[in-house]
Amino acid sequence: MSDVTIERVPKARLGMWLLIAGELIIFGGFIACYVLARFENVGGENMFGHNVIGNFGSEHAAGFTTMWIGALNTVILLLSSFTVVKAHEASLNNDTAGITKYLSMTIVGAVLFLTIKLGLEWRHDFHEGWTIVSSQHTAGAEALSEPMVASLFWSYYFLMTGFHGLHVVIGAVVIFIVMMGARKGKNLHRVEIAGLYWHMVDLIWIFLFPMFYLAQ
Amino acid sequence: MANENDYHGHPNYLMVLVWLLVLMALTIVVDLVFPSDMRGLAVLLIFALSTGKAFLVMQNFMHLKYEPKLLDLFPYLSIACMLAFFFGVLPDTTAIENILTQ
Repeated sequence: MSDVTIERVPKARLGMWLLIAGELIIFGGFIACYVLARFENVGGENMFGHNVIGNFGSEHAAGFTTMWIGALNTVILLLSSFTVVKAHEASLNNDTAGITKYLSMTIVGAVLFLTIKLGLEWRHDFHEGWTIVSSQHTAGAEALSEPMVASLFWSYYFLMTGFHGLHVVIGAVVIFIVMMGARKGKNLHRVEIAGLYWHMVDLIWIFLFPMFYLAQ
Repeated sequence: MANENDYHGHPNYLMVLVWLLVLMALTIVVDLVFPSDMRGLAVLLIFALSTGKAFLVMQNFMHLKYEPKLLDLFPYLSIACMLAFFFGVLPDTTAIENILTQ
């Protein structure tokens, strides 16, 4: 157990933890709404013994996301979490070359993640007729007996993965700015703070992955 | 100590990464091997494994296990807020279901 008092925690780190807490509340609200919507629309007899309508989360809607792509993105984020913490370790040794190397790798991870998410997945989804407001479907529509309920899945999917993607972009930009400063030997303590933010991005995806790709 | 703010220890980050990847692989195995009539258990296991991954990231990569206990409040209070919201709204959800099924 740590015997460090709260007064000892640097203000920047404390501030970042406050931001992370706020972000977790926002995403936590989304997740809670999503789970409640699934309970309401799972179809058949639910956990309370009531017969409910809908096919949200059945083999229909969630079945259209590709598990392997989501898994690949999860591995990319886990690896980038590792590289960012290695950058933090390098910053403690004033190793600017190490910081640059590891933060560059983290940025590459962010770009890869976004390329797969936007360029591959979303592009395919849009092509199939799925959008954040989709209630009319083109390809694959025959499988859905409740278009409105099915679109609920995609509304949550695009809202939450889009919001998460925005955080990936912000994280990558922040890490790039921190890396530029660190190359000149300036503000090395910011590496840890930017890293904390990046871990939060990873943390959120750890739950989005099973929600949208596995728990059907 | 290279830096006065670096009062916390540093775990073996590579080992943590290996554990994260192992848990990730297990998550996929559970998803693939569980039969459809045991889907509920599979989902529970998948989320338990995800919680394990999140715990590893927070404790080791975010160094929460080296920080003062008061700092634990930030993430865990947020999660408590989410659960309070969830269980606060759940009765309304079931009430709607009652109306729909009557």
